[in-house]
Amino acid sequence: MKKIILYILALAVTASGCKKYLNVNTDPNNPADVQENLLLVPTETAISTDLAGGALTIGNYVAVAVVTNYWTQQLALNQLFPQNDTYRVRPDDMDQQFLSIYSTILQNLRIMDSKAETLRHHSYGVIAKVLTAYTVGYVTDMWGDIPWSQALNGALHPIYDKQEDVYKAMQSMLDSAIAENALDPGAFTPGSDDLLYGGDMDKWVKFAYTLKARYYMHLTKAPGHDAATQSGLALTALQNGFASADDQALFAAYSNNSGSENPWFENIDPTAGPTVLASTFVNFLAGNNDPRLPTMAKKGSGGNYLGRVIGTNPAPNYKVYSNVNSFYAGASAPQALLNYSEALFLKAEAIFRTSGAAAATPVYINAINSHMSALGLDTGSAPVLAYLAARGSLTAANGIQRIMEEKDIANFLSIENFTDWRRTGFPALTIVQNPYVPAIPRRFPYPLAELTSNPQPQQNANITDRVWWDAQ
Amino acid sequence: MRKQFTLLLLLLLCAVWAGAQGREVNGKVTDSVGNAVSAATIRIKGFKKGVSATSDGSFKINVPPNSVLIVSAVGFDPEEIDVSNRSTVDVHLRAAGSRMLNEVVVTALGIRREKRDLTYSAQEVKGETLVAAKQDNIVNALAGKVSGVQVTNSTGMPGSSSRIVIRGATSLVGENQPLFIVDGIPIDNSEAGAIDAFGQGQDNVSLNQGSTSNRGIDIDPNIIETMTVLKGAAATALYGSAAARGAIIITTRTGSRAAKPQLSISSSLSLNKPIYLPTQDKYAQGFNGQYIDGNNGQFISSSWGPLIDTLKVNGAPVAKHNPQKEFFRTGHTYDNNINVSGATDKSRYVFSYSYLKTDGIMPHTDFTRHSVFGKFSNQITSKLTATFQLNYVNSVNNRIEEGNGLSSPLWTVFAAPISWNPFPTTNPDGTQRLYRTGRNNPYFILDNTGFVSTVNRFLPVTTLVYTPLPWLSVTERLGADIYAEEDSYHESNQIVNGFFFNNGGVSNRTQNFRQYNNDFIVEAHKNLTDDLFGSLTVGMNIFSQTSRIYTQTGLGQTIGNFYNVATMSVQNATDNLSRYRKVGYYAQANLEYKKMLILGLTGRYDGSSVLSMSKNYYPYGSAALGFIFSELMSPNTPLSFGKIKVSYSAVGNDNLLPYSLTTPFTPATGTANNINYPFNGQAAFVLTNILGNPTLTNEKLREFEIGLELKFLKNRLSFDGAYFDRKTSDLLTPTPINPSSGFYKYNLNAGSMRDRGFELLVSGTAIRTKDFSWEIDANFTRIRNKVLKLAEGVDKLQFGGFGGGGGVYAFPGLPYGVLYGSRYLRDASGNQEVDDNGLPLVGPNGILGNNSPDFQAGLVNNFTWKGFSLGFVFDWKQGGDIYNLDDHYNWFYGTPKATGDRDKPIVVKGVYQSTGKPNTTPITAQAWFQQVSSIDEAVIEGSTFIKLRSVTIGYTLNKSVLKNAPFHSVSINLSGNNLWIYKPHFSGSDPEVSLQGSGNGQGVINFLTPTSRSYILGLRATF
Repeated sequence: MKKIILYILALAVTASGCKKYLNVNTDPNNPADVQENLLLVPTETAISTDLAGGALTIGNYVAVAVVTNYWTQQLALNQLFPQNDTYRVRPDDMDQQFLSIYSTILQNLRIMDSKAETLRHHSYGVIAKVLTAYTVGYVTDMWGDIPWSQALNGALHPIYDKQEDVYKAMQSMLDSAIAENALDPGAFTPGSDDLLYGGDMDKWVKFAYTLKARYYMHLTKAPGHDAATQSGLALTALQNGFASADDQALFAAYSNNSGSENPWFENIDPTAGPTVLASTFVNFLAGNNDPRLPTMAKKGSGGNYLGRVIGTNPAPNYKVYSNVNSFYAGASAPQALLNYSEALFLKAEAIFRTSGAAAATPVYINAINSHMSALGLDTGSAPVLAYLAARGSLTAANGIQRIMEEKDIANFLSIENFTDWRRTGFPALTIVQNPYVPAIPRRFPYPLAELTSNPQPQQNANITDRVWWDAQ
Repeated sequence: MRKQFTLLLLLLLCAVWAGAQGREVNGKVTDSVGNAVSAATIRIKGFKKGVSATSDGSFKINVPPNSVLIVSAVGFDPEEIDVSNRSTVDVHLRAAGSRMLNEVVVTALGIRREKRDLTYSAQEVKGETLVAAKQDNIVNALAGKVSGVQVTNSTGMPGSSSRIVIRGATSLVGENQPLFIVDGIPIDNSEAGAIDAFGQGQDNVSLNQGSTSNRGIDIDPNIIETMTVLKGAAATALYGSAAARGAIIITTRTGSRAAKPQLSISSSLSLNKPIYLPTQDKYAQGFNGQYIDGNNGQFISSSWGPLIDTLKVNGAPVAKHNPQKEFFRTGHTYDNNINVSGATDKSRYVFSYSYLKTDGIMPHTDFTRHSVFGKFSNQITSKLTATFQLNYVNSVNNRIEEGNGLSSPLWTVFAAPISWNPFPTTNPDGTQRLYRTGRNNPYFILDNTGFVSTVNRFLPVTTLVYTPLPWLSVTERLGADIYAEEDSYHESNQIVNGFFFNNGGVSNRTQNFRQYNNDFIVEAHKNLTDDLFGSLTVGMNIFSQTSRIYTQTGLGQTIGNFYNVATMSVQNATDNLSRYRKVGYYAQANLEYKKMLILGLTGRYDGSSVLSMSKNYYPYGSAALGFIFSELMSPNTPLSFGKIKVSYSAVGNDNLLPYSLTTPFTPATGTANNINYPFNGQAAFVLTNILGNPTLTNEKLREFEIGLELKFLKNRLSFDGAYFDRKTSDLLTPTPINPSSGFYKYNLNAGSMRDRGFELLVSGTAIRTKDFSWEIDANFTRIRNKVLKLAEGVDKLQFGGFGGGGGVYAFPGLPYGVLYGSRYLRDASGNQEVDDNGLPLVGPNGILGNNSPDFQAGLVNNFTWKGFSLGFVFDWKQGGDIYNLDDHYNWFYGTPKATGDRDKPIVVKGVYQSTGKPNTTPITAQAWFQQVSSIDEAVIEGSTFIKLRSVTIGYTLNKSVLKNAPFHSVSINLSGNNLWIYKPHFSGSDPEVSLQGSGNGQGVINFLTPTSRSYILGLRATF
């Protein structure tokens, strides 16, 4: 009996040590807090790769940037329809893109911004705000009304804001960024962790101003806005915008190293297909004897520039079609978030809308030449001069069309082309063969995960419906 | 006698023989082949005390007039002998379980109890049955044999995992498989899965790369004495939270009691013939009947070309291939075991070594297992017994990727055109030669990719039993499960769209797993009055699990055909340490009144490290009542035994990974497609997209069970049935959340589920004569699951298939395992709608089926005639659906059997979407198959099957025949597994497969290695 009592005592003693014994649930693998620089690297990279480049997580997830290029008929899929290029995009296709935007990019930018504010590391605050405005602009242009004012600040089921309000928020965010840059940057400043500008804050401010101009011009036909006013605002902003190609927002950190490749290199796998160039784009350049075609496109196996007619039966061998050349889709090709040519085309359009064709023409030519130069073409060479002779003059009648057609080429693979088409109708598009919906889409469906977990009235929109600024 | 003793107490009692009266009876105890059984206990019915047989099996006992002797020994069924008019007896004991009388069952914490006294459902399977099943994976050996249990094999790949679920799912996305216990020590049965080098999440990894082994595969059936399946919470409550999903209690062999060492050697060889996917063998590569010559540089994925028999290229006929027959081979399994066991008067020992090797039907795949097991027990003093045992296992598994990823060769085996010659595998420039783009030559994959998993595992157990008083024992048991799993996957940079994005690479993962378990148990049992027997068990458990997983990935092959992380151009590493601890205090009381009424009470108080600190202790318990009503009946009725048992239990469960309470930052690799961090020399972190929750508490499970056991005609026919109703609530569920929250999932206590079901077991001896016997066991299980509730604002929860698309879901109000995906477009009255070309249209997503069966049944027949035996097992699963992604892809390609019937146009029964009028537009078979292949509804198939799981013919030469031979017995067995499958609704080869291994996402198949038919020759000799 004594022994039993002893055992029970032993049990009791063991029991008292148990609280401590169980205290092992502190995560040794993942830190509870990190510095701003560790957040800047993945957010900038995700913006370039997932948003601008449209290479979205491993696997066949549907990325907005790839799909807009099908819809603007720069790219095509050599597969049996219905596919993304014949306008089939479903809500569940969008889950991964939204997750990348809200979870990887915006969530971490918000944390970076609030850390910077607390610690007065103002350069990180500037960058966080500019990148947030860039990302939010991307989201609202593709979806219209979006979760923003309530998103990422503790509310797990945010309501969706009106696009008009989101646009106001974007402009004010950019203004705050510009203002914040005037403050003492504090003890901790970005350097090599800033893969876009290497910590050059002047360039960040120029980027902020150019973005402001982009967003002003997006509202040229928005209800309650007029093109002239928007153009005036854009021109003012552009005075402090990109001054040369040196200032443009170009993500040039990609390389041939494994795990470092450019997103379009990942999207357009030359060994596998099925993404190829669309006939609309190839034929337009070929028809104008555009000297940029050989730099931008590779010939098909037939030795010619052949674009695929979207919605037709797939070719037995995709290699007959032209594909994107290494300037845009090389493993180490830089990815533009906003290139210098776009800044010039924004200026050309704004001047055209405020001061007419003659005033806009030199800026327009300058804009084309900036793209020629970027591609390595000599702007004094005969083919370029011949091209400009044919395409270089604007009239009141053809002004917007020409500017948009040229901007579309200079903004090759950019989602801005989809926005510009919706805004201006140029470059003119015809509906593809065998379309899945009866008209060219004008927006993306909301993700299934939002439909299920955060039902909002805006989610009933069809992909052929217009967003707020895309008024008839 | 109210014997409710553990093995050791029984032995102890045997030694205490007091008093002799009346006349003397002499005898000898032997087993069925004539070996002496030492230490058998001989007692007189109605008396407590008895004698032990000596080492040669002989005994002497004084008996009063008209006595009946009860002779019992561990491992044997007790025998009753009337000695009222005999003075010498020869007692032949039969191996335990060969009859149902007074069966001893190992229950929770290793406590042995007589089955008659149990107040809950437990079913035992003998070690030899598991060995005879000839399955590499012990889990598969249970298929068709145990009621209430669902076993699903994953693929025909050697070393593949198998899933076991007892009494239906209880967790939405957490673990649903039972706890595995070996000799009182919990062991790990997790599946590591393919290597997740890029942070895709384990579900996506299994979709794209297939599954790996569940660690239960390390258990060698040859060392198992018995396996007890504890089904309900009442049976497992003593184990605490880990066993809320049931428990598989494995008891290893103990040394034979024979004085002379017993040596036994067994060996078997199995030929495994693949069961091919049915395919069409008439049409060549191409589309719309036009030939595309994949042998000569043209590309198309489909086989909608012309008839191959009349096809000529440049005047020469095109050779016809059978891609599966050419690719797969006959697999082999070699299974060898040697073991020695014996005893002295104070100690017992057993030593066993097994070697198993399976060469898969897919070239370059195999599974090898070495298992060494030793157990030594010694009676140190008359009151203290110690047992030491160690099991060492080395398992090596070579695999090729399966599933949806493009490094799987099956894409271009199942879908290869019959006109295509896969050789040579490369073009002169070194690139792969293939009939289509975007995939890989299957033979090139075999030579240029591979996964190997190597496990070294130690399972030591030390048990000390101290018996200070005849009615009191104290057990201290310390055991561990320690293993290192080293996995490596490599892939050449010539593999298109593979795992390493065309760069080539190698990924290594090392898991160091250590799990310690200590139980300290005090047991007391005493007759409280003449009619009342009581036993009380109190104890304490300490459990600790540490797992450290390192992965190293080298990306960018620099040297041809050479794979080492250090030789790759970029390296990336992760390090994940996970610690999980528990403490538990428990008590169990049993009261028996007149051997007729049994009351069992169990309580446990558990603390878990993974739950919220303020709520990490929680109590639970069970109460059970058994009533043996046959005690009230006259012994002459046909009913020889009858018992009703009722129990109710309320238990908790911490079905949660460590560190689920917080929301930390995680390394960013995987958040931007191919980008590998550190990138440009810059490290990167992002906030995790799984929102932690500091308030998580335990899940709750409540179960009511009622059971009936009946035995008729002196136990020749028995019936064991149970009905249960269990409800789980506060389920620990990483719940999907809208991405605008900034998160992907949110850890919640949310959701509840209910499982109700019947389990029936009928056993009978149809015929028993001197030389011939026919025994039948039949089991039946019907489980109805219903997901009662999901988290607020969540209408469905996915846990299998492709994210957001077709896959496996939970829906409130429906059984767990809903198959959900795109459906045909239908009008308001349910007619299929077609477009103006007559093609079916895709409608919105909807519910397509459910993976859970309506019922399952098994039938085991055993015939013996003299030394011959014949046994066969049928297994029947009725109902349940499969999402057949093989069809989803292959219909498009035009290779399945169904697509061979293509010469007649099809008019889809339906209406035009535009006009609502009945469709009259004919379409080609190609158009139909290609169109509907992308509609999930079209590829949902019923998974009902009836299988002749095994047939075994055996012959045993016993000692009388082998008089001058060196062995005691020799047996030879011929068996066949998976010989016949009836699968009325399934178009593939075997519906019993699953892409997601042992995970929850069952019912999805996609490019899996076919299962095989096995023909096995086995020999066994004892010396």
